[in-house]
Amino acid sequence: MPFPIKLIGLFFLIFLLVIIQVSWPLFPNELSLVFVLIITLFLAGFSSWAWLAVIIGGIFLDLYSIFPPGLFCLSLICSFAIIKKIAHEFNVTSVAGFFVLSLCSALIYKINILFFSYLFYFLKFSEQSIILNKFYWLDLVWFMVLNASFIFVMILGIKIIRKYE
Amino acid sequence: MRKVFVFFIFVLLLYLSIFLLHGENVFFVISEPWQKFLYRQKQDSANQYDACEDLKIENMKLKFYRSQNETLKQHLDFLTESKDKFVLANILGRRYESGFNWIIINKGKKDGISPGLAVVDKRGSLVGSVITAEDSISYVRPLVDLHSFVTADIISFNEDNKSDVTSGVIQGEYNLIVKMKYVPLDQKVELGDIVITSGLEESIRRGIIIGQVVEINKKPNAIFQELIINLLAEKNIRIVSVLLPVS
Repeated sequence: MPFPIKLIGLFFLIFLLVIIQVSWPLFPNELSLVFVLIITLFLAGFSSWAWLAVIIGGIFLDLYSIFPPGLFCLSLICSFAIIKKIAHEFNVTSVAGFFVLSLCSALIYKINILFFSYLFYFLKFSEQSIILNKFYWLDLVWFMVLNASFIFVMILGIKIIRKYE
Repeated sequence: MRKVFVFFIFVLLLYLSIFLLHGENVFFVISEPWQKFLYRQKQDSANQYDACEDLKIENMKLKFYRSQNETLKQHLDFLTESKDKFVLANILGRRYESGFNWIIINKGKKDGISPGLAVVDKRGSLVGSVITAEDSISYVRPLVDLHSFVTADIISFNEDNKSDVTSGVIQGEYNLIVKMKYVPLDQKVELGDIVITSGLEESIRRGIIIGQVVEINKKPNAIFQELIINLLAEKNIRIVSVLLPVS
């Protein structure tokens, strides 16, 4: 299949994921489908597709956001660059390693959102600043556990499918 | 290399069209029916309301009108319910990020919506306020959001049947409860007292029902007391009204 068609397919898949995430009440608030897709693609070995998902996902997350345009896109790009570096540094191959890497990636993503939200706030691009209180930390832990669990399940599923193939 | 170039051009055009040329409306229009469909999967809230809740709100409204008549009879005539101009809007979804919680509605700037306006449910109870308005959609901050601050009054009646007004600030906590803060310790507040908007915000008029006092927290050395408020707006809401400025 030609590259532009695949790209358009990915584009619509991510658009659908964002709509589901925003509008379908069945999903927990802290679960980020785009983030799960990106990390799953990366851990499954589709690194270049993960990069495309980072850019397109960032744009759509920015589209339905109260934060200024670019916050989610920049956070995803920086997070993914750091995660890729870490993965290459430690050469993660075990299942437990994947889970730890998923937890780390969720933490890095949240730290990047925090960093860029404060940067935008201090540069007067935005009026929203994240309040760092006990609820934020609780939310951070819940986000890490929930998203890492989803990524872990997806990776396990992919591993099982590959094994049978 | 060619793929990277194609992708780069694609992203550049996308960003330019969305955020600089207001192309976001195309996506909002495409996604609106999908979002409505998905949001409808929520349990129907119509049956969850009992007659008791309606009577509570009715009672609160009556108490509020009584208080108005006593003290500000002529002055507050223009604030009565019938003078509100409003825009009905469907909720398309909700998002949550790092303590921020926002509701997406399908009406925007072109319908006269601007930041700060009050959003109410079908019975006039305050749901939240508009944070940002795009051309065709708007974002609403619910009262339970940690970053939501609304000035409020409590109207209570003493033994002589005279009304007394206590002021404070309503703030959400972890999207679960709503507290009324900065209420002086010497102010007498009772469980069940009604809480209404005070009208100090530029775009939110006085007298919109917020809720009812369900818990009073007083600490001996504190300057202020904290009140837990039970919101009377619907929980699983689908349609809201945005109250437009009277002028």
